[in-house]
Amino acid sequence: MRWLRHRILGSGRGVIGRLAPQTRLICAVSALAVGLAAPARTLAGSVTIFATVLLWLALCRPSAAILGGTFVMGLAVFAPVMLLSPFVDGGAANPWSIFLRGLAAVLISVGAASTLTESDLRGGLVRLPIPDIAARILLQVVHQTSTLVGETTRVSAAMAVRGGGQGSRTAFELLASIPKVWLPRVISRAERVADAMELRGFGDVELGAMGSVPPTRLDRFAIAAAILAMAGAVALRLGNGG
Amino acid sequence: MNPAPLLCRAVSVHHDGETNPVIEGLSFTVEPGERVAVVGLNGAGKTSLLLALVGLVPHSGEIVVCGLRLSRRTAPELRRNVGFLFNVPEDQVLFPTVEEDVAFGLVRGGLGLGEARQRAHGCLHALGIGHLAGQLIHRISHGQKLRVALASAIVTDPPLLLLDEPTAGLDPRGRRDLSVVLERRTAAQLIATHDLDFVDRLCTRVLLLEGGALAGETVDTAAIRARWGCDQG
Repeated sequence: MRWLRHRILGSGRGVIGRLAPQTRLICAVSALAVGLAAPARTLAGSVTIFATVLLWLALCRPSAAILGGTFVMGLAVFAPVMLLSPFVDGGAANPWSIFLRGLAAVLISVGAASTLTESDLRGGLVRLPIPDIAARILLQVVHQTSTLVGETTRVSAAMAVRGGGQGSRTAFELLASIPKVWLPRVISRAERVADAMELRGFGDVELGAMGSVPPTRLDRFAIAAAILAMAGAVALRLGNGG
Repeated sequence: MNPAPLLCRAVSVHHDGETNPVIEGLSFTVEPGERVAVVGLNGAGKTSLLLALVGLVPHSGEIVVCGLRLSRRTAPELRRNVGFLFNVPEDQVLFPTVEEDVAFGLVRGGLGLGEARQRAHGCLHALGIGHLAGQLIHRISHGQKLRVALASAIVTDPPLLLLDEPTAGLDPRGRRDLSVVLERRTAAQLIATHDLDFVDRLCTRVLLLEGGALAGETVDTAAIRARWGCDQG
Protein backbone atom coordinates (compact mmCIF):
# COMPACT_ATOMS: atom_id res chain seq x y z
CA MET A 1 0.00 0.00 0.00
CA ARG A 2 3.04 2.25 0.25
CA TRP A 3 2.64 3.73 -3.21
CA LEU A 4 -0.89 4.90 -2.31
CA ARG A 5 0.69 7.34 0.12
CA HIS A 6 2.34 9.21 -2.71
CA ARG A 7 0.06 11.86 -4.10
CA ILE A 8 -0.24 11.53 -7.86
CA LEU A 9 -1.96 14.76 -8.88
CA GLY A 10 0.58 17.44 -9.77
CA SER A 11 3.59 15.41 -8.61
CA GLY A 12 5.25 15.21 -12.06
CA ARG A 13 8.39 17.22 -12.70
CA GLY A 14 8.43 17.03 -16.51
CA VAL A 15 8.63 19.83 -19.07
CA ILE A 16 4.98 19.36 -20.01
CA GLY A 17 4.17 21.23 -16.81
CA ARG A 18 5.19 24.43 -18.64
CA LEU A 19 2.19 24.14 -20.94
CA ALA A 20 -1.24 25.55 -20.09
CA PRO A 21 -3.45 22.98 -18.27
CA GLN A 22 -5.90 22.68 -21.19
CA THR A 23 -2.97 21.88 -23.53
CA ARG A 24 -1.78 19.16 -21.13
CA LEU A 25 -5.26 17.65 -21.20
CA ILE A 26 -5.37 17.73 -25.02
CA CYS A 27 -1.90 16.15 -25.24
CA ALA A 28 -2.94 13.41 -22.78
CA VAL A 29 -6.04 12.61 -24.84
CA SER A 30 -3.86 12.53 -27.99
CA ALA A 31 -1.39 10.13 -26.36
CA LEU A 32 -4.28 7.87 -25.32
CA ALA A 33 -5.70 8.07 -28.85
CA VAL A 34 -2.33 7.04 -30.33
CA GLY A 35 -2.29 4.06 -27.96
CA LEU A 36 -5.76 3.03 -29.10
CA ALA A 37 -5.41 3.78 -32.82
CA ALA A 38 -1.97 2.30 -33.59
CA PRO A 39 -2.28 -1.35 -34.73
CA ALA A 40 -0.82 -3.27 -31.77
CA ARG A 41 -0.74 -6.60 -33.63
CA THR A 42 2.00 -5.29 -35.99
CA LEU A 43 5.59 -4.58 -35.03
CA ALA A 44 5.39 -0.97 -36.24
CA GLY A 45 2.19 -0.43 -34.23
CA SER A 46 3.63 -1.97 -31.05
CA VAL A 47 6.80 0.13 -31.38
CA THR A 48 4.64 3.26 -31.89
CA ILE A 49 2.63 2.55 -28.74
CA PHE A 50 5.75 1.72 -26.73
CA ALA A 51 7.56 4.87 -27.94
CA THR A 52 4.50 7.03 -27.24
CA VAL A 53 4.31 5.77 -23.64
CA LEU A 54 8.03 6.31 -23.08
CA LEU A 55 7.97 9.80 -24.60
CA TRP A 56 4.86 10.75 -22.65
CA LEU A 57 6.31 9.54 -19.34
CA ALA A 58 9.58 11.37 -20.07
CA LEU A 59 7.63 14.56 -20.70
CA CYS A 60 5.54 14.12 -17.53
CA ARG A 61 8.23 12.64 -15.23
CA PRO A 62 6.04 11.16 -12.47
CA SER A 63 7.96 9.95 -9.40
CA ALA A 64 9.57 6.51 -9.52
CA ALA A 65 7.32 5.25 -6.68
CA ILE A 66 4.15 6.20 -8.53
CA LEU A 67 5.45 4.87 -11.85
CA GLY A 68 6.55 1.58 -10.29
CA GLY A 69 3.25 1.11 -8.41
CA THR A 70 1.23 1.85 -11.54
CA PHE A 71 3.33 -0.50 -13.66
CA VAL A 72 2.89 -3.37 -11.18
CA MET A 73 -0.84 -2.69 -10.94
CA GLY A 74 -1.13 -2.60 -14.75
CA LEU A 75 0.79 -5.87 -15.03
CA ALA A 76 -1.41 -7.48 -12.38
CA VAL A 77 -4.53 -6.55 -14.33
CA PHE A 78 -3.48 -7.15 -17.94
CA ALA A 79 -0.76 -9.83 -17.81
CA PRO A 80 -3.22 -12.60 -16.80
CA VAL A 81 -5.41 -11.68 -19.80
CA MET A 82 -2.44 -12.11 -22.15
CA LEU A 83 -1.03 -15.25 -20.52
CA LEU A 84 -4.27 -17.14 -19.90
CA SER A 85 -6.25 -16.23 -23.03
CA PRO A 86 -4.69 -18.96 -25.25
CA PHE A 87 -5.78 -21.61 -22.73
CA VAL A 88 -9.36 -20.43 -22.31
CA ASP A 89 -12.23 -21.33 -24.62
CA GLY A 90 -13.48 -18.12 -26.22
CA GLY A 91 -10.43 -16.18 -24.92
CA ALA A 92 -9.43 -12.82 -26.42
CA ALA A 93 -8.54 -13.01 -30.14
CA ASN A 94 -5.52 -10.76 -29.72
CA PRO A 95 -4.36 -10.87 -26.07
CA TRP A 96 -1.06 -9.06 -26.80
CA SER A 97 -3.03 -6.13 -28.18
CA ILE A 98 -5.22 -5.97 -25.05
CA PHE A 99 -2.17 -6.21 -22.80
CA LEU A 100 -0.20 -3.51 -24.61
CA ARG A 101 -3.09 -1.08 -25.02
CA GLY A 102 -4.28 -1.62 -21.43
CA LEU A 103 -0.87 -1.10 -19.89
CA ALA A 104 -0.24 1.92 -22.15
CA ALA A 105 -3.57 3.52 -21.19
CA VAL A 106 -2.89 3.09 -17.45
CA LEU A 107 0.64 4.53 -17.71
CA ILE A 108 -0.43 7.44 -19.93
CA SER A 109 -3.33 8.28 -17.59
CA VAL A 110 -1.10 8.29 -14.51
CA GLY A 111 1.49 10.38 -16.37
CA ALA A 112 -1.26 12.86 -17.27
CA ALA A 113 -2.56 12.97 -13.70
CA SER A 114 0.96 13.70 -12.47
CA THR A 115 1.09 16.87 -14.59
CA LEU A 116 -2.17 18.30 -13.27
CA THR A 117 -3.08 19.60 -9.82
CA GLU A 118 -6.77 19.92 -8.98
CA SER A 119 -6.50 23.67 -9.73
CA ASP A 120 -4.90 22.91 -13.11
CA LEU A 121 -7.66 20.45 -13.91
CA ARG A 122 -10.33 23.02 -13.12
CA GLY A 123 -8.51 25.75 -15.09
CA GLY A 124 -7.99 23.37 -18.03
CA LEU A 125 -11.57 22.11 -18.15
CA VAL A 126 -12.88 25.68 -18.14
CA ARG A 127 -10.95 26.42 -21.34
CA LEU A 128 -12.12 23.29 -23.18
CA PRO A 129 -15.42 23.10 -25.04
CA ILE A 130 -17.10 20.64 -22.68
CA PRO A 131 -20.42 21.15 -20.84
CA ASP A 132 -20.15 22.87 -17.44
CA ILE A 133 -22.05 20.06 -15.72
CA ALA A 134 -19.61 17.44 -17.06
CA ALA A 135 -16.64 19.49 -15.83
CA ARG A 136 -18.23 19.90 -12.37
CA ILE A 137 -18.94 16.18 -12.08
CA LEU A 138 -15.37 15.35 -13.08
CA LEU A 139 -13.96 17.81 -10.53
CA GLN A 140 -16.23 16.38 -7.82
CA VAL A 141 -15.01 12.89 -8.66
CA VAL A 142 -11.38 14.01 -8.43
CA HIS A 143 -11.89 15.89 -5.15
CA GLN A 144 -13.85 13.07 -3.51
CA THR A 145 -11.36 10.48 -4.80
CA SER A 146 -8.39 12.25 -3.24
CA THR A 147 -10.34 12.56 0.02
CA LEU A 148 -11.15 8.85 -0.06
CA VAL A 149 -7.57 7.88 -0.92
CA GLY A 150 -6.49 9.79 2.21
CA GLU A 151 -9.10 7.94 4.27
CA THR A 152 -8.03 4.60 2.79
CA THR A 153 -4.42 5.33 3.66
CA ARG A 154 -5.42 6.02 7.27
CA VAL A 155 -7.50 2.82 7.46
CA SER A 156 -4.56 0.78 6.13
CA ALA A 157 -2.15 2.50 8.54
CA ALA A 158 -4.47 1.71 11.46
CA MET A 159 -4.65 -1.91 10.35
CA ALA A 160 -0.89 -2.17 10.03
CA VAL A 161 -0.43 -0.75 13.53
CA ARG A 162 -3.22 -2.67 15.25
CA GLY A 163 -2.92 -5.93 13.36
CA GLY A 164 0.83 -5.97 12.86
CA GLY A 165 0.46 -6.74 9.14
CA GLN A 166 2.75 -5.20 6.54
CA GLY A 167 2.79 -4.71 2.78
CA SER A 168 0.70 -7.31 0.96
CA ARG A 169 -0.80 -8.63 4.21
CA THR A 170 -2.17 -5.17 5.03
CA ALA A 171 -3.44 -4.88 1.46
CA PHE A 172 -5.27 -8.20 1.81
CA GLU A 173 -6.74 -7.22 5.20
CA LEU A 174 -7.86 -3.92 3.71
CA LEU A 175 -9.66 -5.77 0.91
CA ALA A 176 -11.38 -8.06 3.39
CA SER A 177 -12.45 -5.12 5.54
CA ILE A 178 -14.15 -3.21 2.73
CA PRO A 179 -17.79 -3.94 3.68
CA LYS A 180 -17.42 -3.58 7.45
CA VAL A 181 -14.74 -0.96 8.04
CA TRP A 182 -13.76 0.89 4.89
CA LEU A 183 -17.15 1.47 3.29
CA PRO A 184 -18.98 2.98 6.30
CA ARG A 185 -15.96 5.15 7.02
CA VAL A 186 -15.53 6.56 3.52
CA ILE A 187 -19.29 7.07 3.15
CA SER A 188 -19.33 9.07 6.37
CA ARG A 189 -16.33 11.07 5.15
CA ALA A 190 -17.91 11.68 1.74
CA GLU A 191 -21.10 12.89 3.45
CA ARG A 192 -19.19 15.37 5.58
CA VAL A 193 -17.32 16.71 2.55
CA ALA A 194 -20.64 17.03 0.68
CA ASP A 195 -22.06 18.96 3.68
CA ALA A 196 -19.08 21.32 3.56
CA MET A 197 -19.54 21.82 -0.19
CA GLU A 198 -23.20 22.68 0.35
CA LEU A 199 -22.44 24.99 3.25
CA ARG A 200 -19.69 26.86 1.43
CA GLY A 201 -21.74 27.20 -1.77
CA PHE A 202 -19.31 25.25 -3.97
CA GLY A 203 -21.88 24.95 -6.76
CA ASP A 204 -22.74 28.68 -6.75
CA VAL A 205 -19.51 29.85 -8.38
CA GLU A 206 -18.70 29.56 -12.08
CA LEU A 207 -15.71 27.31 -12.65
CA GLY A 208 -13.84 30.03 -14.55
CA ALA A 209 -14.11 32.47 -11.65
CA MET A 210 -11.22 30.80 -9.83
CA GLY A 211 -8.85 31.52 -12.75
CA SER A 212 -7.51 29.86 -15.90
CA VAL A 213 -4.42 30.22 -18.12
CA PRO A 214 -4.69 31.50 -21.72
CA PRO A 215 -2.75 29.49 -24.37
CA THR A 216 0.66 30.67 -25.63
CA ARG A 217 2.58 29.97 -28.86
CA LEU A 218 4.22 26.96 -27.18
CA ASP A 219 0.76 25.56 -26.42
CA ARG A 220 -0.32 25.91 -30.05
CA PHE A 221 2.84 24.11 -31.14
CA ALA A 222 2.21 21.29 -28.64
CA ILE A 223 -1.40 20.89 -29.79
CA ALA A 224 -0.29 20.76 -33.45
CA ALA A 225 2.30 18.07 -32.58
CA ALA A 226 -0.32 16.09 -30.65
CA ILE A 227 -2.74 16.21 -33.60
CA LEU A 228 0.05 15.13 -35.98
CA ALA A 229 0.89 12.17 -33.73
CA MET A 230 -2.76 11.14 -33.68
CA ALA A 231 -3.00 11.45 -37.46
CA GLY A 232 0.19 9.35 -37.83
CA ALA A 233 -1.26 6.57 -35.65
CA VAL A 234 -4.52 6.57 -37.66
CA ALA A 235 -2.55 6.48 -40.93
CA LEU A 236 -0.52 3.53 -39.64
CA ARG A 237 -3.71 1.71 -38.75
CA LEU A 238 -5.32 2.41 -42.16
CA GLY A 239 -2.08 1.35 -43.88
CA ASN A 240 -2.35 -2.00 -42.09
CA GLY A 241 -5.88 -2.66 -43.27
CA GLY A 242 -7.75 -0.84 -40.45
CA MET B 1 -31.56 48.13 15.80
CA ASN B 2 -29.83 45.13 14.23
CA PRO B 3 -31.54 41.77 14.77
CA ALA B 4 -29.77 39.25 17.01
CA PRO B 5 -27.22 37.26 14.96
CA LEU B 6 -28.70 34.05 16.36
CA LEU B 7 -32.00 33.21 17.96
CA CYS B 8 -33.16 29.68 18.83
CA ARG B 9 -36.63 28.85 20.15
CA ALA B 10 -37.54 25.33 21.26
CA VAL B 11 -35.07 23.74 18.85
CA SER B 12 -35.03 19.93 18.74
CA VAL B 13 -32.99 17.63 16.55
CA HIS B 14 -33.76 13.99 15.78
CA HIS B 15 -31.41 11.73 13.87
CA ASP B 16 -33.05 9.38 11.36
CA GLY B 17 -34.37 6.21 12.93
CA GLU B 18 -33.67 7.24 16.52
CA THR B 19 -36.49 7.76 19.00
CA ASN B 20 -34.65 9.96 21.51
CA PRO B 21 -33.82 13.48 20.32
CA VAL B 22 -30.16 14.51 20.13
CA ILE B 23 -31.18 18.06 21.05
CA GLU B 24 -34.41 18.81 22.89
CA GLY B 25 -36.23 22.13 23.31
CA LEU B 26 -33.20 24.40 23.22
CA SER B 27 -33.85 28.16 23.45
CA PHE B 28 -31.21 30.88 23.56
CA THR B 29 -30.06 34.05 21.84
CA VAL B 30 -26.61 35.29 20.83
CA GLU B 31 -26.43 39.10 20.73
CA PRO B 32 -24.16 41.13 18.38
CA GLY B 33 -20.50 40.89 19.41
CA GLU B 34 -21.18 38.21 22.03
CA ARG B 35 -18.88 35.19 22.34
CA VAL B 36 -20.92 32.34 23.72
CA ALA B 37 -19.54 28.89 24.52
CA VAL B 38 -21.62 25.74 24.28
CA VAL B 39 -19.87 23.30 26.55
CA GLY B 40 -20.68 19.70 27.17
CA LEU B 41 -19.01 16.33 27.49
CA ASN B 42 -18.61 14.03 24.48
CA GLY B 43 -22.00 13.14 23.02
CA ALA B 44 -23.81 16.07 24.63
CA GLY B 45 -25.11 17.24 21.23
CA LYS B 46 -22.78 20.18 20.53
CA THR B 47 -21.92 19.26 16.93
CA SER B 48 -25.53 18.32 16.12
CA LEU B 49 -26.65 21.72 17.41
CA LEU B 50 -24.16 23.59 15.23
CA LEU B 51 -25.06 21.55 12.13
CA ALA B 52 -28.76 22.18 12.79
CA LEU B 53 -28.16 25.94 13.00
CA VAL B 54 -27.12 26.00 9.32
CA GLY B 55 -29.70 23.46 8.15
CA LEU B 56 -27.35 20.52 7.66
CA VAL B 57 -29.43 18.29 9.92
CA PRO B 58 -33.24 18.51 10.15
CA HIS B 59 -34.69 20.29 13.17
CA SER B 60 -37.98 21.39 14.69
CA GLY B 61 -38.54 24.73 16.41
CA GLU B 62 -37.34 28.13 15.24
CA ILE B 63 -33.81 29.14 14.20
CA VAL B 64 -33.31 32.74 13.12
CA VAL B 65 -29.94 34.02 11.86
CA CYS B 66 -29.59 37.79 11.37
CA GLY B 67 -33.36 38.14 11.06
CA LEU B 68 -33.74 35.30 8.55
CA ARG B 69 -35.71 32.26 9.70
CA LEU B 70 -34.05 28.99 8.69
CA SER B 71 -35.99 26.85 6.23
CA ARG B 72 -35.01 24.75 3.21
CA ARG B 73 -35.71 27.78 0.98
CA THR B 74 -33.79 30.32 3.06
CA ALA B 75 -30.82 28.08 3.98
CA PRO B 76 -28.50 29.17 1.11
CA GLU B 77 -29.07 32.89 1.87
CA LEU B 78 -28.79 32.36 5.62
CA ARG B 79 -25.48 30.51 5.27
CA ARG B 80 -23.91 33.58 3.66
CA ASN B 81 -24.17 35.25 7.07
CA VAL B 82 -22.33 32.42 8.81
CA GLY B 83 -18.67 31.46 9.05
CA PHE B 84 -18.55 27.79 9.99
CA LEU B 85 -15.66 25.71 11.31
CA PHE B 86 -16.20 21.94 11.14
CA ASN B 87 -14.70 19.79 13.90
CA VAL B 88 -12.54 18.04 11.28
CA PRO B 89 -11.00 20.92 9.30
CA GLU B 90 -9.95 18.64 6.43
CA ASP B 91 -13.62 18.04 5.61
CA GLN B 92 -14.27 21.64 4.70
CA VAL B 93 -11.20 22.25 2.57
CA LEU B 94 -12.37 22.22 -1.04
CA PHE B 95 -9.35 23.49 -2.94
CA PRO B 96 -5.82 22.16 -3.25
CA THR B 97 -3.93 25.27 -2.18
CA VAL B 98 -4.34 27.40 0.93
CA GLU B 99 -4.73 30.64 -1.01
CA GLU B 100 -7.43 29.26 -3.33
CA ASP B 101 -9.44 27.81 -0.47
CA VAL B 102 -9.46 31.05 1.49
CA ALA B 103 -10.14 33.20 -1.61
CA PHE B 104 -13.10 31.05 -2.68
CA GLY B 105 -15.59 32.59 -0.23
CA LEU B 106 -14.72 36.08 -1.50
CA VAL B 107 -15.04 35.06 -5.17
CA ARG B 108 -18.39 33.52 -4.32
CA GLY B 109 -19.37 36.86 -2.80
CA GLY B 110 -18.67 38.56 -6.15
CA LEU B 111 -15.10 39.82 -5.69
CA GLY B 112 -12.62 39.57 -8.61
CA LEU B 113 -10.00 36.84 -8.32
CA GLY B 114 -7.07 39.29 -7.91
CA GLU B 115 -8.69 41.25 -5.10
CA ALA B 116 -9.95 38.05 -3.47
CA ARG B 117 -6.40 36.67 -3.42
CA GLN B 118 -5.09 39.89 -1.92
CA ARG B 119 -7.66 39.85 0.87
CA ALA B 120 -7.06 36.15 1.44
CA HIS B 121 -3.36 36.92 1.93
CA GLY B 122 -4.26 39.63 4.45
CA CYS B 123 -6.44 37.21 6.39
CA LEU B 124 -3.76 34.51 6.37
CA HIS B 125 -1.18 37.00 7.66
CA ALA B 126 -3.55 38.07 10.44
CA LEU B 127 -3.74 34.42 11.52
CA GLY B 128 0.04 34.06 11.39
CA ILE B 129 0.05 31.68 8.42
CA GLY B 130 0.80 34.09 5.56
CA HIS B 131 3.80 31.93 4.63
CA LEU B 132 1.48 29.02 3.82
CA ALA B 133 -0.48 30.84 1.09
CA GLY B 134 1.01 28.90 -1.84
CA GLN B 135 1.20 25.56 -0.02
CA LEU B 136 -0.74 22.45 -0.93
CA ILE B 137 -3.19 21.82 1.90
CA HIS B 138 -2.48 18.08 2.15
CA ARG B 139 1.15 18.89 3.03
CA ILE B 140 0.47 21.06 6.07
CA SER B 141 -0.09 19.98 9.69
CA HIS B 142 -3.44 19.53 11.44
CA GLY B 143 -3.04 22.78 13.39
CA GLN B 144 -2.22 24.67 10.20
CA LYS B 145 -5.24 23.13 8.42
CA LEU B 146 -7.39 24.28 11.29
CA ARG B 147 -6.14 27.84 10.85
CA VAL B 148 -6.73 27.65 7.09
CA ALA B 149 -10.29 26.44 7.69
CA LEU B 150 -10.77 29.28 10.19
CA ALA B 151 -9.39 31.79 7.66
CA SER B 152 -11.90 30.51 5.08
CA ALA B 153 -14.68 30.96 7.65
CA ILE B 154 -13.80 34.51 8.71
CA VAL B 155 -12.41 36.02 5.50
CA THR B 156 -15.83 37.26 4.34
CA ASP B 157 -16.47 38.96 7.72
CA PRO B 158 -19.74 37.16 8.43
CA PRO B 159 -21.79 38.54 11.33
CA LEU B 160 -21.99 35.10 12.97
CA LEU B 161 -19.25 32.51 13.55
CA LEU B 162 -20.13 28.93 14.48
CA LEU B 163 -17.00 27.10 15.59
CA ASP B 164 -16.98 23.39 16.40
CA GLU B 165 -14.11 22.35 18.69
CA PRO B 166 -11.74 25.06 17.40
CA THR B 167 -8.95 24.08 19.81
CA ALA B 168 -8.97 20.34 19.13
CA GLY B 169 -5.43 19.24 18.28
CA LEU B 170 -3.90 22.70 18.85
CA ASP B 171 -0.81 23.14 21.02
CA PRO B 172 -0.98 25.56 24.01
CA ARG B 173 0.50 28.45 22.00
CA GLY B 174 -1.93 27.75 19.15
CA ARG B 175 -4.85 27.90 21.59
CA ARG B 176 -3.67 31.18 23.04
CA ASP B 177 -3.12 32.69 19.56
CA LEU B 178 -6.56 31.50 18.46
CA SER B 179 -8.24 33.13 21.44
CA VAL B 180 -6.45 36.40 20.61
CA VAL B 181 -7.59 36.21 16.96
CA LEU B 182 -11.20 35.48 17.92
CA GLU B 183 -11.22 38.16 20.61
CA ARG B 184 -10.43 40.77 17.94
CA ARG B 185 -13.37 39.75 15.74
CA THR B 186 -16.52 41.81 16.05
CA ALA B 187 -18.73 38.96 14.82
CA ALA B 188 -20.98 37.15 17.28
CA GLN B 189 -19.53 33.73 18.05
CA LEU B 190 -21.01 30.45 19.20
CA ILE B 191 -18.22 28.06 20.13
CA ALA B 192 -18.81 24.38 20.84
CA THR B 193 -16.01 23.04 23.00
CA HIS B 194 -15.07 21.20 26.18
CA ASP B 195 -11.85 23.20 26.57
CA LEU B 196 -12.77 25.20 29.66
CA ASP B 197 -9.47 27.12 29.84
CA PHE B 198 -10.14 28.41 26.33
CA VAL B 199 -13.68 29.34 27.36
CA ASP B 200 -12.35 31.27 30.35
CA ARG B 201 -9.98 33.24 28.12
CA LEU B 202 -12.47 34.10 25.41
CA CYS B 203 -16.15 33.70 26.13
CA THR B 204 -18.55 36.08 27.79
CA ARG B 205 -21.26 33.51 28.47
CA VAL B 206 -21.41 29.73 28.77
CA LEU B 207 -24.29 27.38 27.93
CA LEU B 208 -23.98 23.92 29.47
CA LEU B 209 -25.41 21.12 27.37
CA GLU B 210 -26.19 17.74 28.91
CA GLY B 211 -27.96 14.95 27.09
CA GLY B 212 -29.09 17.37 24.39
CA ALA B 213 -30.80 19.77 26.82
CA LEU B 214 -29.70 23.06 28.32
CA ALA B 215 -28.55 22.18 31.87
CA GLY B 216 -27.51 25.68 32.84
CA GLU B 217 -26.13 29.06 31.84
CA THR B 218 -23.23 30.82 33.55
CA VAL B 219 -20.55 33.47 33.09
CA ASP B 220 -17.69 31.46 34.56
CA THR B 221 -16.71 27.83 34.37
CA ALA B 222 -16.02 27.09 38.06
CA ALA B 223 -19.39 25.42 38.57
CA ILE B 224 -18.95 23.36 35.40
CA ARG B 225 -15.47 22.24 36.47
CA ALA B 226 -16.91 21.15 39.83
CA ARG B 227 -19.74 19.32 38.05
CA TRP B 228 -17.29 17.48 35.81
CA GLY B 229 -14.97 16.74 38.71
CA CYS B 230 -12.04 18.57 37.18
CA ASP B 231 -11.80 21.62 39.47
CA GLN B 232 -8.26 22.49 40.48
CA GLY B 233 -6.87 22.11 43.97
